[in-house]
Amino acid sequence: MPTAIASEHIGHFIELYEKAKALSSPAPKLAALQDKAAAHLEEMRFPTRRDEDWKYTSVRQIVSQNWALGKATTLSPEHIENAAIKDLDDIRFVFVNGQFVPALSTPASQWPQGLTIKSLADALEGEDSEWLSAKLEAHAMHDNPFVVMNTAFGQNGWYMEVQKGAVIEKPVHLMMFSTGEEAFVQFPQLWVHAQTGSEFSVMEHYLPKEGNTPHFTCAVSCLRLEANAHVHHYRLQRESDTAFQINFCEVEQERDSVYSSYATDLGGAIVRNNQNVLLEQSNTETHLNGIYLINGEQHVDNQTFMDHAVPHCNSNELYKGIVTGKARGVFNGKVLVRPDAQKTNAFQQNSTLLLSPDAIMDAKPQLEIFADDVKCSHGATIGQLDESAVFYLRSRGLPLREARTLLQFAFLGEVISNMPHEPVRNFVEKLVHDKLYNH
Amino acid sequence: MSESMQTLEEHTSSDYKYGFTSDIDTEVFPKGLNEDVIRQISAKKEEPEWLLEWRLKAYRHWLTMEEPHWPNVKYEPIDYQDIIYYASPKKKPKYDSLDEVDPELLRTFEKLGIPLEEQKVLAGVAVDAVIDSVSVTTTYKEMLAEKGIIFCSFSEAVKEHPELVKKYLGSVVPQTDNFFAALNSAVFSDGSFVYIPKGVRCPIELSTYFRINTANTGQFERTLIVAEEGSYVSYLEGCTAPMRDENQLHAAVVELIALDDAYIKYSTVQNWYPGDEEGRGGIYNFVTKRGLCAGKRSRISWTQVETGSAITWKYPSCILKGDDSIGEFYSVAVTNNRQEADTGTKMIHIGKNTRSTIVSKGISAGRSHNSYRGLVKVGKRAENAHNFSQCDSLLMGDKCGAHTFPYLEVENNTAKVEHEATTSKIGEDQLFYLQQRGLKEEDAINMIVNGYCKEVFQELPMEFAAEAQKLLAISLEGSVG
Repeated sequence: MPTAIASEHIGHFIELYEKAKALSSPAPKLAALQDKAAAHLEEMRFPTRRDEDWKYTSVRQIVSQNWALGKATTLSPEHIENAAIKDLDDIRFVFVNGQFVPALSTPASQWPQGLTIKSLADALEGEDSEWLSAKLEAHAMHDNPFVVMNTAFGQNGWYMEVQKGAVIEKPVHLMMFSTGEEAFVQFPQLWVHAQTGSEFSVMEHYLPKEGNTPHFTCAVSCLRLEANAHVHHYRLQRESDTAFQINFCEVEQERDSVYSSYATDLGGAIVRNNQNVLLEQSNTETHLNGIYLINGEQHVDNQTFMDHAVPHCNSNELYKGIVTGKARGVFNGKVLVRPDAQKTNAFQQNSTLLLSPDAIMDAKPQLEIFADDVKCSHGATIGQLDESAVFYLRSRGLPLREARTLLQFAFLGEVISNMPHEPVRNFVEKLVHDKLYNH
Repeated sequence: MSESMQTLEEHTSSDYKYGFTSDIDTEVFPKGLNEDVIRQISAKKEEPEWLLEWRLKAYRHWLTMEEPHWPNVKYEPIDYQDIIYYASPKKKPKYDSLDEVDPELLRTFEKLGIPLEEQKVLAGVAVDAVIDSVSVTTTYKEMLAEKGIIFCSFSEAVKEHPELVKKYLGSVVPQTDNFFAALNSAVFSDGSFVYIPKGVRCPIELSTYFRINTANTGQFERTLIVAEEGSYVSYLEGCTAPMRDENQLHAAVVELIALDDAYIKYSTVQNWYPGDEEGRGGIYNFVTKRGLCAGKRSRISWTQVETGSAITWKYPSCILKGDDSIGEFYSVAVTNNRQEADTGTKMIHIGKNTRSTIVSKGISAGRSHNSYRGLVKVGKRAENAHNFSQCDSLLMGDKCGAHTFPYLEVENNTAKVEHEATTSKIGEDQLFYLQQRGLKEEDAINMIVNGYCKEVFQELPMEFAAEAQKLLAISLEGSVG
């Protein structure tokens, strides 16, 4: 019976796909891939809580709705300016309801040297698109229906190629706005190919929507780091509390590359993030940082998968969160050390403060290790504020509420301080601060 | 490195030292399972009607269930119709003294290193030795009876204390609990029953040695321990099995019930035949063990040393229902050659101020796989629950695997749950240090491994701890990573 319901839901999305097809016709290569993905999607079902990977997160509420595609619209430049990150000199890409708005974005003439940015369709038609088309093929046949769905729909995908040795100082800032009274679904797609020795920063920024109508973001990002490339990847999610989001991020690292991610989840009704990192060559470094600060009836599920396929790689994960109200946090971190991936160092830490009687936290840190000369560890804690620390602050004259908030702020501060761009750090600190004080 | 790898192989290639078959006349049922077999088992054991119904209910439910495949182990599919569900020594001998016991049987025990008379004198341990499915001899019974302690075979308990059995059987592990528990409930042949009356502290450690003896017999033991208010009991379970080519299924169920202020300590040393180097033969050990801390301030402590079995699938759990109750789990699991172990615990915090501790030490060598799978659940009303878990894995050899699957589910904001896990190998610097102090490599490894397991071993009763250390040394003879 659940299968029947689930496949009926898939049917809605197939109908939506056909509607979308009738409206636009992408370039032939992309169209073929999207048809393939849609055909695959038709045979799939959405996961239920009986599936181990979705044990703590039900997508029923998301997939049972009749979504429409986001309508193209625009916002005033002042609106964008107000929402911008103060003092951050960025290359801006503005999306409203999932549609790219060139007029509000940094014009192509101002894109820096060494960075090529193309729409997905153009990139796919161009030369050297081998990696891209191979990945899209894989996504079309992926076993996660949300990845397949994103592949079928994703028309506003962007492909960013950082040239060999190029150091791009300004971060690329993807600002995702949503507006209007209609409920809609969007499928952002981000592709980053950082060539040998390049440096690059990118930020996915999901802003709150005005009004209470829900929307659903089904996003995929895919990054490839060639030898010695350094990439900082931010994901700042501060949508309204009615928003749904399912993210899938896939990273591939070649030798000596360094990938750092900073995921911040403050908003959303149901949010699910999958962060997969595949270490293909030796001597890489990976840092996964995550914050979740949720209250009300929010539900945030972080899944990470570190795939140590080769020897001599280092990975480090730090996820910290505060769960209050009736919110539910989920963390599932898996570290896989494949046979022969000797000299692996893999560390993982997940700490959560559970601050209200109705809050729930489920943690599942996982180690799967097939090599012996490794150092791997994980730690998971679920607890409360240290009452002696609260007492200390109160003895210094801080009111109780102030003392508790300060300690919570410091708790998350450990992760925030890892963010390398000062304006971003300040911005996130302010958001966290505001949310803590407005509890 | 390569040298130490060699020694590791020598170590890990040591043969199973308890591989022998004893020739005792046994009566066996034909292979296969159906309602008639269950009726026959029940009739054979002269069981009351309600128990037969209980078995049949379990069997009918079992038919609707599917064998679980979520554990991280791989094995050939089991043909449940190709198993003998009942085997017993032909006539149940009644002994007044050990002289009357079948000498063959006594030799078996001697080979195992547990001569009954010696145990009686030296260890003060009452031994309820189970060969295959029927309890053959029970010692120290009278002494225990004086204190009102009941320690007997399960079938005896059904006859003599039906009211207790009826009250507690299936109260912790219901017949419908899981596939193997349902199978066990339908066909269980015998086992042990322990009842400690109110306020009594059991003066000796109670012990049962299980042996699987007849080829092709799945052994379906059922153990039920009830500790009344303020009582204490320490129960030992140790297992060895003869060498055999076909896989043997073992699906036991152990139920513990601790009432107010009671303390049950359950220790296991499991050393069944693990199969040969290629993984042929060996026991499938699919066990359901669960303790219920029903009363206030009750305490259940599981300690296990798992070195045997081809496949182990076992999660001794505690349901912490009573306020201020305590659950503990200490485990050393060693896998070698092609062994696979998926073991761990569940700590279900329901009552207020409940505490649990989990210490799990996995050692993998050869081509084996060792998984820790555990759940810590803090229910909504479990105020001030506290859990600490530590899961360490030691890898010896580059072909083995160590896996950790902890689940932490917390629904109460006064809970403190801490989990940590590490995976590493024996440090070459540690080995070097011990060797330059004059220790042979093998001794150095033994010392390090024993140190690594010490936290668990010190939870075992003394005689058991000695045996466990010996076992560990045997199963890892010559190994280093």
